Parts: sequence; C-alpha cells; structure tokens
Amino acid sequence: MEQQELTAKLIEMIESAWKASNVTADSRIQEDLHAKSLDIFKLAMLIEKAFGTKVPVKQLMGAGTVGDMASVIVGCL
Amino acid sequence: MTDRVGVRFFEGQAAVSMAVLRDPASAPGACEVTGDGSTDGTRVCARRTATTLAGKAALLAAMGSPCSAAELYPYVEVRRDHYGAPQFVFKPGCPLGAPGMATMRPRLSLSHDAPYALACTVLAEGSRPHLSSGSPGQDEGLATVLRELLAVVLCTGEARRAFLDVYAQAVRGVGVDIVAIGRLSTLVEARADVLPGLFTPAERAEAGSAPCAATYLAKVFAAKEAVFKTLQSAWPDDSDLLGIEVLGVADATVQVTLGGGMAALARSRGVDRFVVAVAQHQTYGAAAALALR
Repeated sequence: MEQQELTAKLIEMIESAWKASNVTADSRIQEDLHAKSLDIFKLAMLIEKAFGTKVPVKQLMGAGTVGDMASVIVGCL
Repeated sequence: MTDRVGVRFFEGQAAVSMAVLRDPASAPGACEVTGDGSTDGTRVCARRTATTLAGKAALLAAMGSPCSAAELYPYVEVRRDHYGAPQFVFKPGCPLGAPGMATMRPRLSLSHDAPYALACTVLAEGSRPHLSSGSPGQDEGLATVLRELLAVVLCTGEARRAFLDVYAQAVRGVGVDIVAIGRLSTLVEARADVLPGLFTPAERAEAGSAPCAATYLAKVFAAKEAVFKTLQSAWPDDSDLLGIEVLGVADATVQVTLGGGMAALARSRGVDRFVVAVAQHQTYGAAAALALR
C-alpha cells in the first residue's frame, strides 16, 4: 500500500475513532488532536484490524503528526 | 482557573501531594505564552501549560507553603525526559534552595484531560531510612492516603494535613491519570470489539457486573496508566495494556498484576509492588499509584 493511500485511510480511522474533523497529515497528535494514551491504544487496535499488522504502541506514541504515524505503520507492513 | 490541592506529610518531613487545575485555557486550540518561567519561557500547548502549573501547585503544597507561588514558580521548571516523564528542575536563586530540594528527590506525575490537569508529587528526604518491607497495613495506609487525596483535590477543594508512620523512601515512582468517561463510553457502545485488546478478561468481567461498564473501565484505564507512569519508561515493545491487570476497582481494594515485559520493566526499576487508589469526579475517572520496593 502506498504511503499516500495509507495516510488517507489512517485519517479516516482517526476521524472516526477520535471524533475529530479536518484531520490532515500535518495534524499534531497531541497539540491539535488532543489524543490521550487511551486513544493511541484504541487506534493501535484498529490499525491491527485494518492492516493486519501489529504496530508497537511505543512507536505510535512517538509520532508527532498523523503523517509520522503513517510512516510508522508503513515501516511495520 | 480553579486550584485544588491536597497534601499528606510523612513524619512531617516527606510528603505526597496532589493538585488539580480546571483550566479554561485548555480548550482545543488554545495556546499561551508565559514569561514567568512557568512554561520554561517557551510557547507550548495549553495542555502542557496546565499540567506544568498543576505540578508546581502540588510542589508548593508538598513544601508546606514556606513561600508564595509568585516567589517559587519562576525558579522551578517542569521538564520532560525523552520518555515524556516529567521532573522538576530548580534554578539558581530558588527560595527553597536548590541543594535542599535535590536531597528531597521530588517525584512528579502529570495527567490531563480537558479541562482538568492533575499532578501528584512525592517528596522524600534522602537521608531517611528505607521502608524495610511491605506490610498489608502500610500499603492499605498509603492507598487510603491516595484515595483521600484524590477525593480532596477532585471533590472538596480543601487542603488537609496528617502524619503517617511510613517513610516515603520506599516510593520508587508516582503516577496519576485522569480520563473522561466519555472516551470509554464510545468504545463500549461503538467499538466493543477492541476492548479485548485493552482490558483483560478478568477486568472486562468485573466491568460487566458494574452499574456502568464505561465508568468502571475509565477507572481501570486510569489506574493502568497511573501504574505505568510510576515506571517512567516508554511502553516495552512486547507489552501493552494487557500487561497491567487492575482488579478490585469497585470495592477500592485495588490489586495490580504485571505480566511479560511490564513485569520485567518493574523488576528493572526495583519495584515489587504498587498501591493504587481510584476516584470518580463527575464524568471523569482518576487514579493515583505509588510504585514501592
């Protein structure tokens, strides 16, 4: 899966799971989306279901933006 | 902004304290800059500002208020290490005396879920002896303290003081967490399929018999997060939320069991047990944890 395609899917998942809107690849996980660790854990579960791969929570928590998070997932596929 | 602080003193020299701020500036998108040192003089998000100020309020309370906030705050910074774990840094000229503060080894934990910022500090004088061994009585005493402090800072807003017959040197770490119950409600109602990845079968079974599963799970999650924060580490690669099992939240005798990488992490930190207290304030679940040796 191309990173651009994966990013679009990730944005869709974040908007649905975190009840957020106008999310972009540049959206910052904490500052803009106000995600807590619970949200990251929830997203990790959804990513595993959607992409069939387990992404370490530590790496997701280290992502500054949605784009960074997409890169982490690509690296695990 | 509402300040609520609670503090307990151990033998009059070491203390555990909590502070909560209800901060309207923490609304989504709000940012502020302060030049008084309370945010290290940099532009930070409101969330960080709120937790930093909560940490300083807790520190001030734990010190027994020998000076005012205006005198202390400019000389104290709250810095996060590369894991995001917060710690106090004291600048030259600190009215409490930087060398003296170093021997007190202040420990700090912060949490935020708008509009609340929650902080807990434990101060221990370095020269005092270690708690030799854990006993149920002592652990229950600590849990009671945490529970009362949570109640104080979240519900009554009154500062209280008391003495305990335990030493704070046994405290290897402190952790707090606050989470809106609504975050769990959406999971329980719409994405129950992910719950097995977040909560163990025993935790889900207990939640199932609670009056409100989302409220119960919010407390459990806050307790898990608080326990993890006591270890001041990144999440181990081979561990997740299932590596921390929290049971007994309903009857306030919280039991914590670690598994896999999380148990190894705790051992590496010299931690052999935890005391945890949970509380509910309106639509928020909160927890405080102490890691002990």
